[in-house]
Formats: sequence, C-alpha cells, structure tokens
Amino acid sequence: MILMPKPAPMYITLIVAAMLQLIPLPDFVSDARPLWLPMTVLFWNITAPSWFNIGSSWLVGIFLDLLTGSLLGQHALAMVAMSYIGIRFYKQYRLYSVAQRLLLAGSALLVWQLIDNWIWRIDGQTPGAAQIWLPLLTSLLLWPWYQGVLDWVDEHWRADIARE
Amino acid sequence: MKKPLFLAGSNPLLRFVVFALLSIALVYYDLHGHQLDRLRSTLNTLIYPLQIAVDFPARAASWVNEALVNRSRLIEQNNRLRAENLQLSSRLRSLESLKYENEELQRLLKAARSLEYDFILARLLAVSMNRIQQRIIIDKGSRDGVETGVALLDGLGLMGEVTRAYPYHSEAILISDASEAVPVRIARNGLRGIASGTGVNSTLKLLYFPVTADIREGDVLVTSGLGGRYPPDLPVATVSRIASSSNSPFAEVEATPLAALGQSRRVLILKPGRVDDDGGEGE
Repeated sequence: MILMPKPAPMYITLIVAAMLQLIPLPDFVSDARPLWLPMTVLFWNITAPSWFNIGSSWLVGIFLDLLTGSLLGQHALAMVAMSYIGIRFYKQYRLYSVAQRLLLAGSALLVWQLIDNWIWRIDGQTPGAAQIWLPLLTSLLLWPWYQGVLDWVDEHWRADIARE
Repeated sequence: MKKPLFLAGSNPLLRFVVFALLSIALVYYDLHGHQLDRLRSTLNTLIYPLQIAVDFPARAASWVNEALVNRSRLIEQNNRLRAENLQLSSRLRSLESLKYENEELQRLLKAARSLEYDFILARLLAVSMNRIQQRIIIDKGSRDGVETGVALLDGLGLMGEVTRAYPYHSEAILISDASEAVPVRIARNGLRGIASGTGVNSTLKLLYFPVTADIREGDVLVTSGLGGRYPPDLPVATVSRIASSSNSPFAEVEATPLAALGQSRRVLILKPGRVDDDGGEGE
C-alpha cells in the first residue's frame, strides 16, 4: 500500500528553509549561504514526486519571487527546471551511490543557479562568479546530511499514518 | 490504484513545459511594463503572514537577546543614553535657533518653502537572497504612510529608496545596488556628481568627477537633491580612495557609505511633510 504523505511537515520544512534562505546575514556569510529552499524543494520532488510535483515547485518559486521582490516568475522558472530533473530521475535516485546522488543534486541545483543568474542579468544585474559557485558548493557539502534530516522527517510522519 | 497512477504517471515533461512557459510569460510582462503591478500588490498582501513567519527567528533572537540583558548592563546603558540625550537635546536647541535664522534668511531670499521631515521607524524583514541585488523588505507599508520613492535612512546616513509600497510592508533598493545612482555633492565645496552602487555593501563609485576636481579622501558626500528623487543634504558616504588613470578625463573615486547597509536592522523612512510658510498656496 502506498502511504500518502501528510502535508503539514512538508510545509514546515519549506517554511524553515525559507527562513534560512532569507534571514539577514553579514555579506561574507550570505555569499556562501546554501540554497536551502531549492534543496528542500528538490528533496520533496525526489521523495514524493506524485505529491510534490512541478506545479508545487512552481508555486514555491512564485512565493520566493514575492518574498524577495525579484521579477515575478524568475525563481519559479528556476524551480520548474530544477524540479524537472529531480522528478525525471526520482526512481533511479534511491538506487544511486552517494557520488551519483551528489551528481544529480548538483546538476539540478546548477540548473537552478544558472537560470536564476541568467534572469538577474536580463534584469540588468551582474552577479559575480563567486555568487554562482559558492552557494552551489556549500549546498552540495550539506546535501547528504540535509537529505538525512529530511528523510527522517519524511519517514517519521509516514510511519505515524501507518499506525493510525 | 487509479489515484497513484494518475498522480505519478501524469506527464512531467508536459507539466514542465506548461509551467516554464507560464514563468517566462510572467518574467516578460514584469520586465516590460506594469501590467503585473496590481497582481503583485495583491499577492504580496496575501503572503504578508508568510513574510512575518519567515522573519520569526530573527525576531525571536532579538527578543531573547533583549530579555537576557542583565540589570546592571541595562542601568549602565540607561545612564549612557540619558547623558547622550542631554547632549543631543542641547545641541538640538542650538540647531533650533539656527533653523529659525535659516528660515528667516530663506524667506528674505523668497525661497517658497522649506522641507521638514517626519520619520517612520521600521524593521528589516528580509534581504534579497544574495548580493546580486541589494534589496530589502521592511515591515511598514502604505498603511503606515510609506510611499513609493521615499528615502530610507539609518542613524548614520542614507540607505536607499522605497521601490514598492504594499499595505503592510514595502520593498526598498539600497544605494549599493549596481543599478542605483544617487546625485550627490561634496559637503566641503559643493562639487556635484553621482554616486553609483557597485553591488558591494561597502563601496560606492563616484561618477563624473574630473581628474582635476578638488576632492580628497575623507570628504563627506551628501545628497544634492537634484533629480528630485532624494531630498537634499542627507549624508551619504565618505570618499575612501581616489585614483586617476591616464586615459580617462574622470577620476576613479570610491566612497564608503555612512549607513551600515549590511548591519542595520532598524531603518528610518523619511516621510516628507511640507512645512509651508503661511502664504504658500495663495500665490
């Protein structure tokens, strides 16, 4: 039988990720800030693709656009492209080795970064190389652990439903 | 059986194409024109609770910080503030008399009106995700009297300008944003120029100062009021580095903003209230 995820914990992880993403920090920390929200969205795409689909990712992207005051659709487009990669490979992902998982997450997050920065440029901003690669690097360093935490959240509440 | 099949099997490629096109259309219309302004304003008001939720940890941290300050430190701080207040109010009194003198002189010069400012105190809710765009969200909006285009300061100097005011919160662009330019003059001698952001919090570029201009390190820059976007005489930055290259008629001048752009959690929004001398409208 398929255990359907309960929405509440997922929303909570997304809101916490948004907090981490947007909390004001000094510049030198902010430059290396991991891509918390994209990472969280990607995790749910891979873990529960039937439930957290590309449309859900798009919605989170629109929220992020509104929260940061960027062009409407900017983060949404980046989310949609990233999620497509995640959802396309969600079946394989669980069979992958750690290195392969990192490669997949890395590619998806790279797509996010490139689209995001490409639209910044269209909007007349000029992001530096560090602003593209540093967040990507910290995200990938964190990914295995962060995924572990979210996995725990996921399993914990699915088990809860099974007991009911 | 039907449900998971429908959900999991629904074509991700199709979804991808649909939502990607939707996003691209949104970006396009947001970039070229103002059709989306009303939609954005409505949505922004709707998600304001989320904005508050996202801000919660910062707020909680500052609350804990305030709650844990011990008594002796509070007393010390209180004494210090009281002394400071005394000093400031005496200084203010001497400024008051200068102000009247100034108004008198302006009236003699037939300057129609002088400006006086009110401030709205606001808190930082969020910053743009990275330094590409130097943009902040503050917790006061049009309901509190904030308007699009008003200036934003901290205790030390000019921070930026409100770009969009929503009912309960507003967005502002910082002077360090690469697309932002502030008309300034040197307080010492009145030379005018433009201070442009660089995308880095700690540096502004000064444009259009000739190599021969009388400008020194440490000069204070204030807004010139030209262009009408910023009111005149707000402190902006101090000149930090001057270099001249042989092939350009302009000096390369860098300045450090006076405002703590990366650190201020509380900001002042300038609320322009015109103080007319009585005959203002009649003429």
